[in-house]
Amino acid sequence: MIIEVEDLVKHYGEVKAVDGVSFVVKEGEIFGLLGPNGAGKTTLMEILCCLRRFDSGKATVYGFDLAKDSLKVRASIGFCPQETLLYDLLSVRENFAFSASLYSLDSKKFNERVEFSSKVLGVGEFLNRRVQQLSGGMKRRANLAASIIHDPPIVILDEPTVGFDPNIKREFWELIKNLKHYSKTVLLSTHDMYEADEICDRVAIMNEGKIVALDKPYALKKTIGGDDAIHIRVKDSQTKKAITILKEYKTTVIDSEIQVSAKNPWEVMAEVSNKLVSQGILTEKIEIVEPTLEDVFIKLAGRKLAEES
Amino acid sequence: MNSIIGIAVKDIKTFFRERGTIFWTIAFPVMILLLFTAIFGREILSTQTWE
Amino acid sequence: MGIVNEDGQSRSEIAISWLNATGFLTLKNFAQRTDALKELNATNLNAVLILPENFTQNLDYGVQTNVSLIIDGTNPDVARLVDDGIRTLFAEFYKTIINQNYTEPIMVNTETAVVREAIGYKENIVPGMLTYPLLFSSMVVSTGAIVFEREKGTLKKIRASPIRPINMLFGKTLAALFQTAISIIVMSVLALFLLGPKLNWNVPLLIPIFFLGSMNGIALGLIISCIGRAPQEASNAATTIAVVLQFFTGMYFPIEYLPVYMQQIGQFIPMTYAAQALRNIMIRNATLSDLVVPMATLTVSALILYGIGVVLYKRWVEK
Repeated sequence: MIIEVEDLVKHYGEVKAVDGVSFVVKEGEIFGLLGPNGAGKTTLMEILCCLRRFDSGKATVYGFDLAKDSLKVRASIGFCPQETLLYDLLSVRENFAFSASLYSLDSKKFNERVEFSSKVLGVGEFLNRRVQQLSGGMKRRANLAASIIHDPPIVILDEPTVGFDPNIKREFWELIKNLKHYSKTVLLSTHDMYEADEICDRVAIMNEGKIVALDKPYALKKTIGGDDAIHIRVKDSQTKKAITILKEYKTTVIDSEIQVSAKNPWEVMAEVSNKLVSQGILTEKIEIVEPTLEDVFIKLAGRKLAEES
Repeated sequence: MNSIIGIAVKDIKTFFRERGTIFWTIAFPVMILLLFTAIFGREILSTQTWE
Repeated sequence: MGIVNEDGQSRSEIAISWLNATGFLTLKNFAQRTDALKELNATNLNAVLILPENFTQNLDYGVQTNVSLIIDGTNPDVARLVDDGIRTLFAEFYKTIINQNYTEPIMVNTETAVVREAIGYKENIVPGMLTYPLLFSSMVVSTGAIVFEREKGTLKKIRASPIRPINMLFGKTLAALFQTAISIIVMSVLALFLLGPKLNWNVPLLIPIFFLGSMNGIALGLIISCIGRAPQEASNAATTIAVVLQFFTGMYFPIEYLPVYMQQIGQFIPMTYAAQALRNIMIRNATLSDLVVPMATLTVSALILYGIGVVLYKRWVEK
């Protein structure tokens, strides 16, 4: 196991930021910590990067004990925090050189890594430009590249795509997934359920400092997320009538869409569709929606992942 | 590259690219030097003999 | 002050005891004028007072007598002070000892000796201003550099890497030393071209003073950046302290020009010793043996301040 965490506890005064967390990360997987802001994800990551002390418990990273071998732990991790930690007045290459010096890279290895960053992370085109002249997306790519310039076996990413527009987000997901081909183990935190679903091999759902569920995204959705739902949209004037027709099913109305939950969605969809048509109601939209990690989280924590959604 | 040197090189590069620091550390004291010499320089330059 | 008593009679002895009693100057007796003047030339004396052969006799008979005062004019303020003091003293002396009705029978002839080439203001301010980078830039640089790192969050990046906190401190120190050196070199060259002061650029002696002074500045900056709670607070504090301190260190004027209480405050600022040492090297051709005291002072204070800085920094990093 490349990361092992056992009963880790961290208090901030009275508040338990990390409350007895245990998990393992396997070599070569992308492991996600999913949870709302304030769930303790960042604190947990910063503890693993030796940026914070913990109160009790045990953790090893790459076989090194966090409490005893912190220098070796740090050397085996590339940590990319939420903020862009680049120096605006230096060029991207100079920023890389600085990061490399922190890990005592020799110049041959450094050139190799710059080559890698150019090819795999696409920073080649703006390697010699000052960071202050780069766009947001370029900065984030350069930031990621700088944090793994020393070729660490473990990459820890704190909310890697927060604040990105959807296109750049997709691009970034590809970059992260790509890291697997270079035998990196990735631990990332996110409050974006799609991100967790899309790129993580396994996800730990965190709430109030605790891990409340841990499995593959698919399994989480199946076991905790509940049944699939059929979302039906009809003309507004016919919604009431439609609900009466479908009274034998479990229906709820959200945003003027009728949702019918069902264990056997395909059969139910056919039935529902036939019933509505026979009563002269035309469906504008009818589709099967699988439960999302958001649903999983709501089931577990009784609230939504992010306040705004 | 050694980390101590790496940090030093990074700081020095940043220093030379920051116009504000260059002003306060070099241009400003030179200005003061010239200004004070212009104001006080003449008076004390001559040696005085007095009864 | 040197005293040449060519009279050797009762009145002159009394006058000398009066001088002694003031405690305003330390007196040293010489038998020969030439010996005293030689010492004055070597800057071991501030002034030489010559009481003429017939001093007692003339006073007894109420005849005017001439006393010669030769003052080192290097420092005009000191010269003026000595001159005024001696004149007042002789006037008082005459009134008390000889006659209430003072009609200036003792004439004090003052000469300002041009001991060596006249030291102009620019010769004084150039070495003084060369302490500016020591006080100001090394301070702002070190505070700026560390506080900046925290503000920008890049400290996180450094702390997440496998370097010991102390290495970051050494890197910062190295950078600050380099920046201070650059600013000293640029200032020196500009001063040389623009003002052309007649100074002794004794580089092997100047370098250790600059180095020690700079280490003091860096250490002070380090302490401030670790104490300040908010980055802006630390940066403001450093600037304020540098701006205030510069007036006490004798940067713009030699410290002897300053009021006594300011001189006393200045004694607690390491840069004061650097400024004095620089002037002594560049104006008075001081040698290594003359610089033992300021160098020792600067070394000790640098060690103490840097030590405090390291302790505070370690605590600060772990927070």
